[in-house]
Formats: sequence, C-alpha cells, structure tokens
Amino acid sequence: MFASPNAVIIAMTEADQATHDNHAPFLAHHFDSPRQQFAAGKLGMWLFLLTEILLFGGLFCAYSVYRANHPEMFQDGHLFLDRYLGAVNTCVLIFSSLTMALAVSAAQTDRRRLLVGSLIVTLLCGVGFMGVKFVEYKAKWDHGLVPGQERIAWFVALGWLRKDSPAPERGYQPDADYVRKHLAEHGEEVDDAEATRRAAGLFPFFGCYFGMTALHGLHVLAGMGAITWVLVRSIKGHFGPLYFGPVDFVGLYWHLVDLIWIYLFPLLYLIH
Amino acid sequence: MIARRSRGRGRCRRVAPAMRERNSAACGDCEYQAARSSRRKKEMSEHSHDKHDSSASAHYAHVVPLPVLLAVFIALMLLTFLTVAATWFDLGRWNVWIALIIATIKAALVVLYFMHLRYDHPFNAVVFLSALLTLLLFIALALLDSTTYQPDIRALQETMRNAGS
Repeated sequence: MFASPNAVIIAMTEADQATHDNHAPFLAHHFDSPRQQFAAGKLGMWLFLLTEILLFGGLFCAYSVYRANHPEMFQDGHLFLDRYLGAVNTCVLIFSSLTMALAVSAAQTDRRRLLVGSLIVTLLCGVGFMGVKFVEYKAKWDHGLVPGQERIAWFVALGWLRKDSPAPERGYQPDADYVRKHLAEHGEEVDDAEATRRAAGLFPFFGCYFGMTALHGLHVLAGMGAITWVLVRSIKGHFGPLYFGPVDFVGLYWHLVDLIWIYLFPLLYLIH
Repeated sequence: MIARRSRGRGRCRRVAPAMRERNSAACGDCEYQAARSSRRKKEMSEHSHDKHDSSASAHYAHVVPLPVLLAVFIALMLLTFLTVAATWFDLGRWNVWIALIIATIKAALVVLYFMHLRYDHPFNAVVFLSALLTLLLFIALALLDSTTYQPDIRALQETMRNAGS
C-alpha cells in the first residue's frame, strides 16, 4: 500500500523531469509519465465504449425481436428507405473514419497541419452525414411515416398554449393511398383495405428506424462537438508525440459511431 | 507484459523505415532522452535503455502506417459495395446472415486498425469483447421464443405472396 520513501522520491523526480525538462504541460500531477496517463485514459475510453455498445444493444435487441416475429413488416418498411442514400452515408462515415485515423497519426508524429486538416475534413463529413440524414427524415415526415408525427407537430407548434386545439389521437396511420402507390412502384398491387393494413404494419419498422438512427444521429452530433474541441486545441498546438490522448480518445468514439452505422445500414436499408 | 512488448516490437520492425523513425519520436522515453543536455546524453540513454527493458515503457503509442490505413479504407469501401450488391441476388434466409457477416468483417477492420486494438494493450480488447459477448447474450435470450411462431409467420407470408401476385 505504502511505497518506500525512496520509491516516492524517484517517482516525484520522474514526474518533475517530465513536466519541467520535457515540456509536457498536460501531464496531470497524479500520473508518473505521459505513457501512464495515456494508458489510463485509453482504458477509461474503452470502458465508456462498452457502455455505449450496451446502450445501442438494447435497441438491437428490440430490432431482433420485432424482425424475427414480424419479418413481413420489415420487408415492407425497407421499401420506404432509399438504400443509395444509405450507401452514400456509409461511405461518408467510413471516409471520415479514415481522416480521423489520419488525425491521430498526425498528432502522434507532430504534424500539426495534417492534424488540423484531417480534423476539419472529419468534421465536414459529419456535417454531410447529418445533411443526408436531414433529407431522409424530411421525406419521411412529408409522407407521414414518423411514429407519433401529429403529436410531435402539435407539441412543436406549442399546441399546449392553444387550449381550443386538443392533442391529436394516439395512433400510427400513414396515408394508405401513399403506401398503396409506393408498393405498386415496387411491383406489388394491393387493394385499399390491404394498403391500410400494411400502412399500420409499418409502425414497428419505423419505430426501430427512428429510434436507432436518431440515437446514432445524436452520437454523430456529440462526436462533432468533441472533434470541434480537439480541433481548437490542435490549432493552439496542444498536441504532439507526448500528448495526443484527446485526439486518440475522440477518434475511438468517432470510430464506434461509424461501427454502429456499419450494422445499421444493412439491417435497416438492405432487407430483402 | 514481456510477451506483449516483444510482439509490439516485432510489429514495429515491419513498419516502413520513415514511419519507424516517427514511431520512435512517439516514444516518450526517447523524446525525454533527446531533451537531455548533450553532456548528460550518454548517461541518460543508458538509463533509458534500462527503463525500456525493466518497466515495459516501450513506445506508448503505435503509429498505424499510412498504407495500412488506406488499405483498410479501400477494403471497407469494397465491402460496402459488396453488401449492396448482395441485395441484387435473393438467397432466401441467407440474405440477412450474409449482410451481417460482411458488416462484422467491416467492423473488425475498423476495430483492429482504425481503433488500434490490434496494437493496443490486450486488456482493452478484453473490455471490448466482453461488451460484445454480453450483447450476444442479450439478443440470444430476447430471441428465445422466436422459433415458436415461425410456422404462423411462414403461413402469413405465403398468404401475402398469394394476395400480391
């Protein structure tokens, strides 16, 4: 438990040398060396990623159960998603993962211009991803496919201030006519009664779709915030071979967000 | 610890020479040693070598070489194309498994190279794999009863197919 006085003195001397002679201003006083600080931070980051995997895991569980028990709803549902937009977004995220990995290498090897450039490109990819996501969400909203859409609209429009406009009924009823036309485009002619039934059946699919992609989208936004923080610090010249932990840890987070999308893309867009 | 260190060094040797130089720049102790005054340099370098061998403080970060990053990126793009192309063929119940296998290969590439797990401390891999195993357990238990309803589901799909055609 208690180190010998000699060991303490040696540890203190090392820390002292590391901070003063070695110009490592970001070495926290409770760490012996930059290496120890980095290893501790990295372990902490992996533990955090573990909780993230299990957070998304709950949604993947729900997805698995619904898809196993209602495969026909998922077969219908994916027809309402544009797989090419999904593919484009996959490529954007993979490219941003590459530039993030480049940023980490650049910080480790003290190339500040490459570091700042890579981080900016990564950030722009995040903006691009969210832009495509916005276009997709907008189309779903316009077609009335968002679960609870009317209630959401009622709340957004400050409906609770207008006492004379009651909250809309609960329920999920996309426009049956739109569903019928859309199924016809994919080579399946159905009558109105069947279209109504199939429209109601889209609920579990779009519940999963919006639950999973919205949580993922929030993670992209959080990642963009973290990248902005690292970008500001790298412009200030904080990072180098002895201190690049924050770049590496934000990179890990960003790659995990990419990793989750790698599964979301085939599970939501590529059902057949 | 010793095994890990020697593995790490073995990998470093495979890195391109220019990158290896940078790699050593990423080593805290070498930098520390370089920062010494020339008068004390020799003495410190000996000290540093001792430290390398006694306390496993080899390179505290592994720089993944650029060609490796680019190769991983190209592989991920090709696999993305492959998973989209796989939907042009109907392989019945294998569709979902092929999509999941391709996604898992992509995920493994991201984790091993972009996230450095291949070069990382093994304990971080234990943390990551324990999350995956727990997740598998969750999903497997949640799906326990799904086979119960498969005959009904197949009958329903048959009805729908007949109604559609």
